[in-house]
Amino acid sequence: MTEAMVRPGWRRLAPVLALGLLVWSLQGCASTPSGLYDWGQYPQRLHQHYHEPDNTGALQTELERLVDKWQQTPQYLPPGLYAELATLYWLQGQRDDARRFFELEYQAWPESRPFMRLVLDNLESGN
Amino acid sequence: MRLLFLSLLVLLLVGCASQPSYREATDLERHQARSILIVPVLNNSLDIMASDAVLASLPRLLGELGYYVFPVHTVRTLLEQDGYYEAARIHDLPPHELASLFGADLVLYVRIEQWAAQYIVLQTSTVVELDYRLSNGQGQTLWQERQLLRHTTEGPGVNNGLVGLLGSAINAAMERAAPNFLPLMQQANQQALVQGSSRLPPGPYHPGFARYYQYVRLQDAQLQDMPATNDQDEPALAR
Repeated sequence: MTEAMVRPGWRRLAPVLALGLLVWSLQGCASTPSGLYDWGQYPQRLHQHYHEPDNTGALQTELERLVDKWQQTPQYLPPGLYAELATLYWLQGQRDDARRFFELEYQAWPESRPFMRLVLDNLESGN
Repeated sequence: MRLLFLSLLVLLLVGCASQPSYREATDLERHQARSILIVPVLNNSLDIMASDAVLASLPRLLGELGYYVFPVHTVRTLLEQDGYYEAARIHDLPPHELASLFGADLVLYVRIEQWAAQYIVLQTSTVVELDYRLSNGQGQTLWQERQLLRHTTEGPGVNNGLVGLLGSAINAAMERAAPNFLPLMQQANQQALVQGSSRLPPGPYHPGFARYYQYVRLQDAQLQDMPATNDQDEPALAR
């Protein structure tokens, strides 16, 4: 293969490649988390939750915001967050919501399955 | 030209491999855990808020290392439903019971040994001491680390006169009003779990997981091949 044979192909390919690179870099900018996950204010709200047990709203609001934010790309949602939200629903007697989010945790994280099975069975038996 | 480049590349690669510093896989690496259960933090200090501050700081740290971290609030709520309100009682449970109840590879026990501010005239000294321990499902301790960190506000300098005295009094008063426990605690977490020689290996969701364990296995295999040379020295010691 000579250089002359390679070049024309390159000329045609270059704009496509450049465009692809541009799209890829722009997509990268679409607010992906800096680490593996987007934790938002979860640690702070959790801490606050233990300091002011009467104020459960702030933690729930933050968890709902994060779940909502990453609905299309759930790989950025940290492990355990579906279950944390489910627990808050469960403690308020919203059993259907609780079940739905415990099941989401079960689906998303294979490591959670024995624990989630236990929790879901407990929910079914009415505890 | 191409040959030169190639030979340089080969030289570079050989250079990398020719000076090995083999090390054995650690107990933790042999376990190659995927998930960590963080149980409520045991508090041996007088500050009742300390344990929750530590507990809330850990999921993010371990999650970013690539582990599945069991939801701490869910875990705590479930344990409370079963009558386990105090961390001390949970720490006394057989680790294999906890690990099998949750299906966890590792259980992380954190103990606060010190969490206090000491006042000495124009200085305030804040101390945080934490003990971290990872146990496997069989109850064996695979990893343990302790961190003692102290932050002292600056006292008056020798030649600073009244202004220096005033400054250090203000600093000490500020630290007294709101001691800087949280930054010290976060630093302790970092030093124990993420940095230095004690740091945990990456978990399965970390992009470096596969390569890390490939390297660990390679080193371990190299070590298995080496004892031939050690055997020559060993009998002398045995005699």
